[in-house]
Amino acid sequence: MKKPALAFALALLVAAAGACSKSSDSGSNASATTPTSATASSPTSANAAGPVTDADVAQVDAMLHSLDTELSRLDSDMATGEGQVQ
Amino acid sequence: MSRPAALRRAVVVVAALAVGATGSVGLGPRPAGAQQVRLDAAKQLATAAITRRVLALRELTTAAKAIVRLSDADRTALTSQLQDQVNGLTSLNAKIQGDGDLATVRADAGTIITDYHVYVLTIPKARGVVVSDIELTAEDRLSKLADRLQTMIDQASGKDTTKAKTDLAALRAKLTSVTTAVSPLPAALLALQPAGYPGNRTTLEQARATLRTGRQTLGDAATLARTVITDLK
Repeated sequence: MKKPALAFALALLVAAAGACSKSSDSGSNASATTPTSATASSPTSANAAGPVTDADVAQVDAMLHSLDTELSRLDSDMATGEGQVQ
Repeated sequence: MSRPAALRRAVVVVAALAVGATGSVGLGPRPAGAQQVRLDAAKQLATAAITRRVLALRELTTAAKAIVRLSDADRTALTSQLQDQVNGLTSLNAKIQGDGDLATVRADAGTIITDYHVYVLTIPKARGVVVSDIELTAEDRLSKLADRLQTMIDQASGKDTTKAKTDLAALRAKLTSVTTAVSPLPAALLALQPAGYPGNRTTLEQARATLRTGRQTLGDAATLARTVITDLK
């Protein structure tokens, strides 16, 4: 591996290890996104058929909660500039 | 003025003229070593800026791969766009590390922003697509609950189901509203390109407003689902 490529790979590793948790400039710190699949999978506690219960609606509430988190991240993303590059 | 004092004053004046002429305290051109330090510092700054963007893009790529409700084409388009930017920034970093002078490094570093707009466009647009997927998934879940509530109404013999029917109709209207508003968003967001920024920022803002409204409407629909359950008790 060439020296510049090696340096970049090392920089990525170092940044991945710790830089995500702190702000290094005014640029965005994109935060972890909840995978949709994590909220869309069917918990076993509710029936997929039969009478609808409050537990069924509670599953939707959980999805809406994760939705709120993502919308807040979207707000944060859009409030952030590009930061300094030179 | 004594002779030593006059000499000292002359030395100070010459030194000041030298600083003014060269921009440094040295009397000659800036040493090559100092230029190299500034060049290396500029390259490191550019690498750090690229690294942050690549990490953010990879995190969103992971989220994009987990999309469940949108089409395969939308999911593939999003992941491809994110990967293209990762590839482009990686190549740009390699070029910057090979640049031989400060002016070239600065020009190349400027393209991190002008050619990519990662933070102000790509990340919000990708996040918007992911949020659209969550809203449409929630709508799908509530739609299935609505179907089951309809079955409960149909089977509620001997009960007055008038209010339940009205509330269920209101619930379905909410879901239709969400589907109509949110379904077009992924395609509209995926069409946004860095070259169109900042003109296409309006589309981003409108998408965010639509997603906010969608979230509120889904909350109302969930409340109506609970109301129908209560109506049938």
